Amino acid sequence: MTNEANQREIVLQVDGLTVSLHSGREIVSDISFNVHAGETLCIVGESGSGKSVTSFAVMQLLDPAALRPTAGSIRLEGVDLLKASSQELRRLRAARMSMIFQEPMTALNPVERIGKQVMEVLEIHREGDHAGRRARVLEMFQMVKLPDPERVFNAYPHELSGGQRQRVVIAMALILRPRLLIADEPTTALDVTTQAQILRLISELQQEMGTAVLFITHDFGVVHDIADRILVMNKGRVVEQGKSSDILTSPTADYTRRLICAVPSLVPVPSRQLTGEGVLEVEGMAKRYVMGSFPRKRHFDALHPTDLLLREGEILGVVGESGSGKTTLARCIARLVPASAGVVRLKGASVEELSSAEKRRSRKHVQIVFQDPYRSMNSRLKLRDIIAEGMVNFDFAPAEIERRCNELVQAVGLQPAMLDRYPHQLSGGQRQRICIARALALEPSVLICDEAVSALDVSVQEQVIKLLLDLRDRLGVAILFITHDLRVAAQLCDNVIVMRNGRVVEAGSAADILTHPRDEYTRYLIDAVPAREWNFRERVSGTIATTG
Amino acid sequence: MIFYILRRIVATIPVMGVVALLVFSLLYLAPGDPAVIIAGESASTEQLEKMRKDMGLDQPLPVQFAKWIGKVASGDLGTSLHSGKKVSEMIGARVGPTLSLATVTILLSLILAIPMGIFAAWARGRWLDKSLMSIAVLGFSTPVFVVGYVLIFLFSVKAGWFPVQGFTPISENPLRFLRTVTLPAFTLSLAYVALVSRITRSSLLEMLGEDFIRTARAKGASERRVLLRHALRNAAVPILTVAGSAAAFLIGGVVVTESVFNLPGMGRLVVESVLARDYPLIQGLILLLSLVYIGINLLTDILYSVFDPRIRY
Amino acid sequence: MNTLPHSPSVESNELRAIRMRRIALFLHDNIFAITVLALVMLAGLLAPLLTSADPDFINPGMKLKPPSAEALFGTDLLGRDVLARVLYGTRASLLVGLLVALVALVVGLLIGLVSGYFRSLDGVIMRVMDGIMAIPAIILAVALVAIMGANFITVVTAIVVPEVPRVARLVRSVVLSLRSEPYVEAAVSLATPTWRILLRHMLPNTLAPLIVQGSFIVASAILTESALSFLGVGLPPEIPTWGNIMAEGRRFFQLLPGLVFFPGLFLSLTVLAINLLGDGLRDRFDPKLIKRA
Repeated sequence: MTNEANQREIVLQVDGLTVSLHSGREIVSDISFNVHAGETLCIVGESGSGKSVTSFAVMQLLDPAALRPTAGSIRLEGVDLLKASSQELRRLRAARMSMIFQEPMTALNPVERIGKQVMEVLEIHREGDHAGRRARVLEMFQMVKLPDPERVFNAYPHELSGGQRQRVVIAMALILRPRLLIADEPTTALDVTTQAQILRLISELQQEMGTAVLFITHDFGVVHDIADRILVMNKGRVVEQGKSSDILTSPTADYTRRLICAVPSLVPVPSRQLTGEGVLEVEGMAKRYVMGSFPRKRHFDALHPTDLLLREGEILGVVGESGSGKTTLARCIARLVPASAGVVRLKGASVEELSSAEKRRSRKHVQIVFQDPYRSMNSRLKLRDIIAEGMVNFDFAPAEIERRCNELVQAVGLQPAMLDRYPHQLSGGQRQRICIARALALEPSVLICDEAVSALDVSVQEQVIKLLLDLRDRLGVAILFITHDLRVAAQLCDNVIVMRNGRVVEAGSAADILTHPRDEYTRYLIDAVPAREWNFRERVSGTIATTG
Repeated sequence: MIFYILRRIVATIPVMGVVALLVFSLLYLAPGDPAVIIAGESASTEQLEKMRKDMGLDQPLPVQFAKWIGKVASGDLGTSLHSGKKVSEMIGARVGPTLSLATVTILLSLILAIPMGIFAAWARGRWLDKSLMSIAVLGFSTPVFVVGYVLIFLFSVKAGWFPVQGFTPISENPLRFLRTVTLPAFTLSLAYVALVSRITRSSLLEMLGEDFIRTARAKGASERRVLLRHALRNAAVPILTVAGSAAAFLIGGVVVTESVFNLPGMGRLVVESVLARDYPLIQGLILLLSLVYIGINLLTDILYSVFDPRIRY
Repeated sequence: MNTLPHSPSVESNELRAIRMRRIALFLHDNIFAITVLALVMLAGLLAPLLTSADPDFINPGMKLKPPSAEALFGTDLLGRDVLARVLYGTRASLLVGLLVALVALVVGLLIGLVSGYFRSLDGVIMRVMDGIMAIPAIILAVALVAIMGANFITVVTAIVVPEVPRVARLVRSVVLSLRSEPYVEAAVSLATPTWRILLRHMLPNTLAPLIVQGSFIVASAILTESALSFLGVGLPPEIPTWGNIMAEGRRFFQLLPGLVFFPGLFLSLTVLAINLLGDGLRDRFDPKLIKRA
């Protein structure tokens, strides 16, 4: 930390800021906060809370065709940004205030070499000559711990990993040592181990340079690890703000408390006795992709031979980072992509031996729920027709279909009256419930959930997790749960397999693996989970009823 | 890079094969016996018989096709039914005016189209954008021959600046060459300029919504820098795609333009051959013009990799 | 945004109101194009009411007269009334345009659906399409007409053939991008038969781009037809079409420029209006714009 006087210096002062659509609707209403030199203020909120709009308003990067600040002031070291000319703003950007973004994959110009792009910052702000700029960029690459700075300097963005690109963006943002760094969900698109490294890097550089950091996130784990102070937003308004430790342990607002309690604990639920028969057996399943053509033909093993057994009423978690092969495994089992090798047995019967018509009919036994609830439904169909699709394919009688639709929609906690609605009239959580209802319509013995709760806000995520547990208890359906989120896995899964680079590195009961990992990679993965030791629900005071 | 270029070249082979097959089968699409079509209705049975033997029309189609391809590959496009001259020679005699017209048109288009698109994108939503884009829509909505006659009426008939019709080769008299080629080139380039400037504008605007543009703005980049350094190069691929495929307009437009301005080029030859039903000549012309078009598109494919490093696999 | 209206009737009323507002907005934004098109169509349909002259009536005493009170656009070499011929010519041009678009869309749609969904056929089909596209459209049309002989059906066919590959490619690209959409994959897992996936989940999503593409095809077909007629290889000269009138008039262009300009003006205005309407439709259907609204 820098010295105390510096600590108290206000870098950013936002006062009564309101941002509105052209229609007049307020997206952010009357929010005020300060950020001091050397401190990190976290703005936390769910989707639609206005947290990102706030950060873009500070940078003055809102799309003027859609949004504009209509009231209040934003002062950066005393300069009112809302009154500044566009020329002044351009001088301030990168030099006095900088921003890093959520999507490192698209944040860099894809057709320009990395070094040139970072040098452009110095070029725009007229710092040094060519050789001097180059040296400074290489030095900065070293500071953000990019391996082999010379190579990165000459590389194109697509030749770097997501984590490396985010380091480049950070280098770009901090090369002029700005007083304020705005980070808009900078680690959300990254794997958990990369996230841990990037967070560490940001806080190291912050300490070295005394930068004020405005950090936007939805993740209370990240908040716990990095925030000095917290500001909670909901529907464009400030819910509360205060010191990090105060808000996390004794929030004054009920909304904050509900949000914190919804964060799943990393402490696994106690093991259950599994007595059911095996419904899904997979043996030696593998997937190899062949890429390129003749002189440069290459292949890539997305999945090395893998076995698994799923019992009736079991929830088996498949966890791993991106590229671990977990989604490939799920898609091969669901037969959305043909596996290169392996045998699938459903209740003991091999799928391979079926005729092609029988193979199609046997799809009913394995159903899948996807990550993105917004793209999982044909927006032109009513919910009734969406849920009924499978039953129509299997020639159910119309009256039977109607009865089942009503039943299913209630089973996932919605009202039958909603069957006449269209997907766009539903929230994300409601859509995911409909997807689950559709998947259950054919009474499958296996339900595959491919990151099915990952795109949902924590409060909605909590409800969907409860729904899945409830459906398992009532219907005995076996669930293959693909997730990158160890917290979710801990709350849901009986058994877990951990995957890396297309191979299973460890398998066993969730309780064992999460508390006593044997494999080094598993340990590394668990260590990287933000606020790993922090069990939010137990630490927060003034409990609220958990189930309605 | 070399592999990419080689692969693009190899990829044009099946396309050329299909074109050759289509051109070859044109003769068999015509109602009636090809021999009768070629020899004329008045030919006697013996004449037709001899004709079939001479031209190999009595052999199975695949054999005929293979022989034809072999001849075409060695540069022999057959003999004109009408003049009795070699098709390749007849076409060769007409290349000059067309090549001159094409060169001037392409230069003119490049000078006009891209800057127009950039200015429109820069002034997006303002009057400059709206007027440039109105001109563009008007440009490709007006048929080439109407544009031609309007220009002739204004600049030749009324103002008397240019000759109404005719062509002088550049080797004969460069000044007269320019006077004869200016109006045709303007006529021909209008639709092309319109299309290319529109795609330039719309791809630039699309790029402006991308994340890396936001990054550039966060660096403090000016609007000019954002457009010219970041958006333009990323928009190169869609612009090239349209510039390449719209070359078909140019090639088709050559036929009409040469007819309007009475230029003795390949385009006029197309019309002449069609009106005379000179099948070998028609086939030869289509084949050649298609090869030019395929070549242009091969070139744009290769240029992709110059502008976008992701296409260099 | 996700709040639900209270009752079904309120909901459908609201939806209807939103739809009406959108239609009104579309009409407002495209008022020029729609007015011009409506006028041109009326001119074609009501030609007998708008002029008493017979477009085919040959009057040797009225050869090549400049515009006058009796013949507003003048008369041609055979003494026929040019205004009447231009008005009646509207019919042939619009008919060719619409017919070409319809046939090209249907054929291209079928080819595109098959090519996009059945990977085994894709290679062959797309190579053939590439081959057709490699021949410049007017050249191909000219050659086809030359070989098949010029009548209404051959002219339409000759203009359709070069348009089909563009439609097929468009549909194929939509199908390819939809194949990996989760909702299509969900349908696959529900054992939905292929034909139903194509019909129910893919076809409706190709309609918007097809309508836009269709309007551009109408415009380009009218242009191609007039170019064919102009070059003397289009519809038979006795049928009044804009291209034919110009083809006959071009010889006397210096004497009577109206013989070329009047039909040319009708032709250009019509094509302009259709292109503007196509632009309007594209803006209306562009998902990016919809998302922002």
